[in-house]
Amino acid sequence: MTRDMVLEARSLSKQVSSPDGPLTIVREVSFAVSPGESIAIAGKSTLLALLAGLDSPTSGEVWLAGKPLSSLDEDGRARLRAARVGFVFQSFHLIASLTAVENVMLPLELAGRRDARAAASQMLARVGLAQRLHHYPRQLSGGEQQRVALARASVGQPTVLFADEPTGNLDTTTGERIAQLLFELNAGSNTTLVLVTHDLALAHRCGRVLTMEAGALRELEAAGA
Amino acid sequence: MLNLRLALRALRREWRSGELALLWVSLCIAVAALTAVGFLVDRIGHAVTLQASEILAADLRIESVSPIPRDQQQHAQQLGLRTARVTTMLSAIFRGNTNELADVRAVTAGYPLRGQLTVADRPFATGTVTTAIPGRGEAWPDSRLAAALGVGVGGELDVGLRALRVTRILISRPDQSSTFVEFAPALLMNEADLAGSGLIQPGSRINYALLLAGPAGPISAYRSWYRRHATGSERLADVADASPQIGDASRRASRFLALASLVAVLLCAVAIALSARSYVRRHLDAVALMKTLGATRRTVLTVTLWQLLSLALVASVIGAAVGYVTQLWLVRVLRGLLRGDLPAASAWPALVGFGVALAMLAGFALPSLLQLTRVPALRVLRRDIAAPAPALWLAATPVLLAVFGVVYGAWLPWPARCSRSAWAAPC
Repeated sequence: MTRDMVLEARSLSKQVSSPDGPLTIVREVSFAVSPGESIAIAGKSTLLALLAGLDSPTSGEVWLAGKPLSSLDEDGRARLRAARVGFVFQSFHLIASLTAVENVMLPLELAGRRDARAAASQMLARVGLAQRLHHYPRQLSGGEQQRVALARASVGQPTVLFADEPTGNLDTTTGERIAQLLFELNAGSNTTLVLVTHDLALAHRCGRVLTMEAGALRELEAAGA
Repeated sequence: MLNLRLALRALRREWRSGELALLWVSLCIAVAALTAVGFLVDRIGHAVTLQASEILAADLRIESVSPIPRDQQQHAQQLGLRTARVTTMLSAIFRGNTNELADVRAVTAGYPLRGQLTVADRPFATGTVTTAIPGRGEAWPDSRLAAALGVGVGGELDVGLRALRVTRILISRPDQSSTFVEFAPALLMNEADLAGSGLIQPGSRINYALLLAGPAGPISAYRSWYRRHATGSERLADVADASPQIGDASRRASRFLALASLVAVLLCAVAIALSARSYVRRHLDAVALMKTLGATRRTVLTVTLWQLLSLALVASVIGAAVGYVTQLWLVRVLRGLLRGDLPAASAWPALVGFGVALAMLAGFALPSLLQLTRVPALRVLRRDIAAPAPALWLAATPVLLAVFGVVYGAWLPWPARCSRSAWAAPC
């Protein structure tokens, strides 16, 4: 892995089978991201899945937080994610039977943190939900749910935060507020942000913008952040 | 410990959301149905066993036509068992010129080891319980013998060459048979008076009995020892031999009740399987998310197992409590059919209930829940991905058979269980 890089993809390819034969959806992708950097990928969530160790590449290698993912089994990758990675999803992915604070506690509990409740409450207060700690997801608006998801992703102070279309299910105003919060949280820590989005305006708020075309990655000149 | 904490928290949250209610209620009903029958059968079994023990006046009775070797009694005493000897013979008892053929029973202190003697001051009176036996030089004729010989308390009877003073009238003894075989009236005397009575002569038809009583463990140990040291001329009698009719009726009734409770268990098993599958369907996304956030397969598995164990434990405690209360109600309903008060139930049915709850969860819920451990984390991005569905029948069939076997075997009462399992509780 290139020195000081927190995330690196080397000749990453992913092939899937289709009725018309094998289909290459990620082709020879290589790039590296340094600590604290924000990068937008305008393209497929498949690449995010490969980078986060949720899926395995057909060929190539991903280094995450100094470790080659191919050397880790499923549980090893899970442990690495628990220690170093946070996620924000388009459809929030909150657990319906848990309250807001319990959803935020979840990654801390999995990491064995004893102060999970206090840390989760504090984080929810940072995202403006101090009054919603004990509300269930169904009692929260879309924007509030995504704030809970942001709090959950950030509470463990991850090295890398993967965000998959974080504003995709929100109206423009709410989406803008969430994006603002996402970048604020990212700026306040040394977390690397990897944002997968089709929203080019949002993408350009990142330090770098990569776009996928026919499975191959191309870097655009960034305008923001 | 972390996984246990996680499991208990998750269980509390699931409980709060009501998602486990059907599974839990099904489990409670199954345990309640089983333990209600179990407690009832257990109490009836104990009552029958006690009754049978009283017929023997002991838990174990060794009989022989020749004197029983002393080492047999000594070994029983070494094991902590209570012992007594009874020597019986038919002999003519004289009072002056009047005589009557009697079943003479010479006993040692402690007789009877099970059941009670009742005595009175005159024949056919209401007896009072005594723990004593006739002293040396004393005789206790039963009401029939006393009436036939016209003797009362204070009178004298000639038993063989000895004159014995009547100090009590024997009203009842536990080992008096209700069959016509025991046609002669009885006389109880102290074994020490046999010597010099001339009752034991070469060719006399004497029956020697060694009575033993005590906890199940030593009794079982003694049986094992006895099998190795029996001389061949003796016969070992236990509660299973004492009253086979009662045992058969009790066994048939218990089997019927066990089968009825198994139907309830079967219905609950279906409910458990259905609710577990529905639970899994609802939790595929949550588990995929947990894996994405860092839960390993082992974490998901141990959290699932802890949850099942906790569920089984709580359902067993509550189910057993409901079962116990139901059994009290059953006893009340059946009061007219039962003779006297039933002894208290043991904890055994509650333990069987817990075992069955665990087995049912293992057979009907675990296969579905294990599916959760195989959910790929990638499902958070691709909802079409799921873990392969379990082959439920593969786990459920052996579990059903095991539950059937356990319940059928465990609820199988006296005497079959006693004779097989070396005297379960003071069975």
